[in-house]
Amino acid sequence: MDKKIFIVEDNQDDLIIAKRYLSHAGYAVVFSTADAAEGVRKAVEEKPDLVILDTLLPGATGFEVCQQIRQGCGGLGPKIIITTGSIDAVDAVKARKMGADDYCAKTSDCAPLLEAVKRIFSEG
Amino acid sequence: MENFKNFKITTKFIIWFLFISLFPLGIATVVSYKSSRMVLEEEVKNSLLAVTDSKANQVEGFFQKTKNDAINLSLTPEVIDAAEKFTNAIQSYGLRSPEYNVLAQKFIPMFSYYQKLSGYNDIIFISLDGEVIFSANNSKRNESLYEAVLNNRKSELAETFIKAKASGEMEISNVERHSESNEGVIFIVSPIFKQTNCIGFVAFEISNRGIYEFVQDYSNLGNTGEAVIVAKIKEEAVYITPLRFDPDAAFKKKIKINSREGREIEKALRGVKGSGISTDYRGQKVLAVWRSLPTYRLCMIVKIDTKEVFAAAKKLRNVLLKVSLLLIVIIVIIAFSLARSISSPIKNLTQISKIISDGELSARVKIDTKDEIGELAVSFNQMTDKLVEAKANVEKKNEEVEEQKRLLEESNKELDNFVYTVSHDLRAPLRGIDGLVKFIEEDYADKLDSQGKDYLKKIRTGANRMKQLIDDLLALSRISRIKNPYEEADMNELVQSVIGRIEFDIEKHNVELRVASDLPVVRCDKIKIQEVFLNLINNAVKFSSKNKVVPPRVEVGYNDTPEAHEFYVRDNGIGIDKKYHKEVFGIFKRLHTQEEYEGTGAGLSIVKRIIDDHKGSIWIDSEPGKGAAFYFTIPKKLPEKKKLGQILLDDGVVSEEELKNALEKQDIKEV
Repeated sequence: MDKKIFIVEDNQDDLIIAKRYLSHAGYAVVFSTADAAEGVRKAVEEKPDLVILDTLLPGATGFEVCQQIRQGCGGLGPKIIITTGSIDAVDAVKARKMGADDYCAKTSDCAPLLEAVKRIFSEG
Repeated sequence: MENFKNFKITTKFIIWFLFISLFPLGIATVVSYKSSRMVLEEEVKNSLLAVTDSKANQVEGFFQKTKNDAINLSLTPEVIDAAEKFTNAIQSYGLRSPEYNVLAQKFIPMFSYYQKLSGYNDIIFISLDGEVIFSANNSKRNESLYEAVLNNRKSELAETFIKAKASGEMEISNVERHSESNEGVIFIVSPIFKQTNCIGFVAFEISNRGIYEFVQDYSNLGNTGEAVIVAKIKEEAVYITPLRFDPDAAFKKKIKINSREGREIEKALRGVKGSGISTDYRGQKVLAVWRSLPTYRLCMIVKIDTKEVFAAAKKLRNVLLKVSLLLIVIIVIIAFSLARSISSPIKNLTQISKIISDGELSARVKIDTKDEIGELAVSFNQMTDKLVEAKANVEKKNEEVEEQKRLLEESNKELDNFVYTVSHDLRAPLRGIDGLVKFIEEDYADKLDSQGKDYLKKIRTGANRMKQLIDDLLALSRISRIKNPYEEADMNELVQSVIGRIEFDIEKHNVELRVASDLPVVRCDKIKIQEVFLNLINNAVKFSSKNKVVPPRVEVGYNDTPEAHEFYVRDNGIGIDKKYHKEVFGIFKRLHTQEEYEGTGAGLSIVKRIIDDHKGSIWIDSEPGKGAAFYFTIPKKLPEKKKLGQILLDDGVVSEEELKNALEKQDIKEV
């Protein structure tokens, strides 16, 4: 599995947990940042297979980052999953509108995320 | 009368004024005209009567005098002597004998004198056998009166002679028209006696010309009055004197006695005196007085045109009519201006009220007077002021409401943000704790003793518990924040969908679930009532499954009450002590130790809040050890709520339905 996964996440705990579960599942997180602008730039430049975004980032929301990546890549580009620590599911609708491929809640065991990642890669 | 009500004030005033003024005036006019007519008629009648009597006396006097003269003359010795001599001369010598002529010549001067003295036309001697033996004028000489009668020649003289001969007394003839002079003549025939022997007759021919001067005297008779003398000749009434309007009428004009014009003549000829309105020979209406002139069987009518009689009354009436006409004009003008003075401020008021009702609230009525209309205008203006004030108040209130709405929306949005932030920020450290402790458990399992592992487990349990509390809190805030419009919901379908969602738990705990088959269709917030059933059934499943004595059983039922739909969810669990029946609906009320029951008390708080929102009620029927039944009602008549069922977001509107779907998706992922 040589899928390139980027994570844009400001919470170090969440980042550690996500990296660990993804690597256990066989995915390599090749880049991570807490900075939204850098995340956008990297994602557009390096065209990873998947970008995992947090909804609340310093300076921007995950939705905005998502939108900027999509714009930067001219509509195509990496798969994007937006994760949220909130339980307010309004975001699910918003995420899809902003061009995200999936949306899931953050949990301590990363189960929704892993499921979403698997589904995205199995879809191709 | 119905129409009168709808007339304009001006019209009403004019009608009333005219009625009030003209009605008495009209009566006064009629009464005064009638009474003046009556007075005039009476006065003129009296004057006519006086004229009639005076003229009748004159005429009668004239005829009486001629009659008396005739009588006297017939008794004079000269007349007796003349009669005797003429008779003898005729008998002895014949009519045309010189002896007779000598005799005639001898007497003519004397009779001419008598003739002149008494105004006779002629003095005639008639023999016993009806021969005219002398005529002062020579007019009748040689006539034989018997012959005239025998030959049926109309001759009053002959008829009167025969009468006088039969009666042996003086007789007076009817009026006869003189064939040459066209005058009326009357004959008085008187027997001449010598001692006691009738030796002949003397006849005086009297002209009626003598009475012309009486008739033609029109003094006291105005312009149209006249006296008319009529004789009855055969069945006709003959005017024997000239008429005022027909000077040649004497003996030419005649009318039928039984005709309309002849009625009064007929009465007068019968000797009935009278007066009244009648029609004269010209067909004119006249006021007439009639009486008879008995001596010569004549009648006299004195009359005057009613036109002249009533001219004064008519003049009075015309004056009154002119006054009325003038009054009408004046009254119409007064009524019009008076009505205008009342109606124009009212019109003004109406106009202003129209302007105001069209929304121009600054308009005010101009107040010129202090009468009732002025007062009306004042209070109208006051009312308008109040209206402006009230409108301003309403607008202010509306603004306040708008402001509050805006604030509410703002605070709603703030709450959204707050919930979002809280859920994000509070849950993040808990995820870290749980996730990292799990890593310790995984990575350092061989370095930890059981005590350490237990501590770590307790840390993770605490963190999860904390996460659950936060989630419940947020769920509760979301429930009270979001309102949906009421809709008809089939409770059978609704309960079945709830059961579908917790099927796993029901099977896991082997719960016997009974649902009443005939649940109604209820108007409610469908999504929230679903939440109610979910929580209640879920609780019931949990509680009943903790009862280790009997197999768990849950029942969903329904009672129809007049005011509300009543549902209940009953379990056969351990039951709830009465003292906790109110407390269970408080948030995070734990009635049982965590070991026995999962979750927190937020579920029942949510249920109570939803039922409260529906203005329904919720209560528990339970005793420890006897299971518990949760009852709730939904009123049949729900107050319609404002449409706040959708919440506004930055980039669009999301309905509760979409939210729900999203939540469900999330739930699945969380498992």
